[in-house]
Amino acid sequence: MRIMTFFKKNMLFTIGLTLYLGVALFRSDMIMETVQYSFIYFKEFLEIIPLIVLLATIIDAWVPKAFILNKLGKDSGAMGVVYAYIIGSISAGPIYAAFPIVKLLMEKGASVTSAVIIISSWAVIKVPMLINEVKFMGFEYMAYRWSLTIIAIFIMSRMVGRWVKKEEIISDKGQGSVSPIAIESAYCIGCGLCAKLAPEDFEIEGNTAVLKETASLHPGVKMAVNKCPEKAISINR
Amino acid sequence: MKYWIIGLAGIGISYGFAKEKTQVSFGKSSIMIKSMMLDIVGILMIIGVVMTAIPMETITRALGGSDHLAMAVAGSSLVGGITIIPAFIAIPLVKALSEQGANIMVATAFLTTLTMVGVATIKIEIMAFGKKFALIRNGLSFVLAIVIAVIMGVIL
Repeated sequence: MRIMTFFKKNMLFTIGLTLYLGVALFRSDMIMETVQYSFIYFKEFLEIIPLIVLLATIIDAWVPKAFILNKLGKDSGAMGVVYAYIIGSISAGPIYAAFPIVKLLMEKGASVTSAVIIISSWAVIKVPMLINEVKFMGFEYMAYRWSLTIIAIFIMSRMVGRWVKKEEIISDKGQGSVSPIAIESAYCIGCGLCAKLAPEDFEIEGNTAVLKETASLHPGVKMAVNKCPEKAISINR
Repeated sequence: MKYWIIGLAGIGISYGFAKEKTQVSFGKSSIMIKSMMLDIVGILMIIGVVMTAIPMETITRALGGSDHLAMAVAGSSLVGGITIIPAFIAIPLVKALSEQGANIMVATAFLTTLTMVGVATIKIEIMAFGKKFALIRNGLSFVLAIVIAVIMGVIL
């Protein structure tokens, strides 16, 4: 059963393995060549991985995220648009990790328009990944596709901003849980940082963090809230 | 090799200016790459098969777009919209496909909907922002992703 969930969770790997088996069974004369091509691409991948890690590291360490987030809270006009693009495109992690952050920003005053820009650019415009696109598709392709994407997101944000009112989004406040600490398990990536910082409050079960019964509000928990890479932990006041 | 040198030097400099900050950030980006490792292996296997065992004519016929371009673009947009592969991993596959005869418009439609439209995550988005917001945002994304692909096909 555990093997099944492994294959289900790693769909790409499963598909790749199945295709490989198919080649091995039906076109065994080709399997060597297939492996060879996989390795050619593997080498190209290996070449750019350090650059991607470097860029992701530097962005994470040096871009004043807290400062920008603070600016976004107020309605900040044209600069707000720029900040929204920046915050979206420098953030790592899956798109659903953006949802709680964006929601928090909206409660602080960010507009629907900025919300769309942040979420969409979070999903699409990944700065470290542009290296990857240049490497495989060429600079011209990357430049065109990225410019068009930025324009498309801008158009989209204006349209959604016109059709959806902010009150429609943040009206259902205050239906939180009874516990003072809440983990949004959909956002959790199971990195285990919280369990390390506050072992008496959090533990990792499977792939997500869960709250222990002994959990209570103390400085360790607050640290975990701040350090959680996906901002999945919240404290209810 | 030169990328490895640039990478190491960059991290070294950042470390020199702010030791702790760099360590934490480096840890985060390493986790990011590590969590993608199995996906990368999977896509490399798929690419190997695409480049060898699947005949070029098959790919050209299905994705080449000489006789049913609109259908091929619509199809690849749908596939891109429902699958969740990080673009980082999908880009090499897109390259392999276009080398094997896929039309650039078709390939771009797949790549762009892949990241812009999130059918798989729409449930969480609805939970956070409500039906109207999530449906409009993803619907518009889908349409605009196709527009981007068409423009790319025309200018490249």
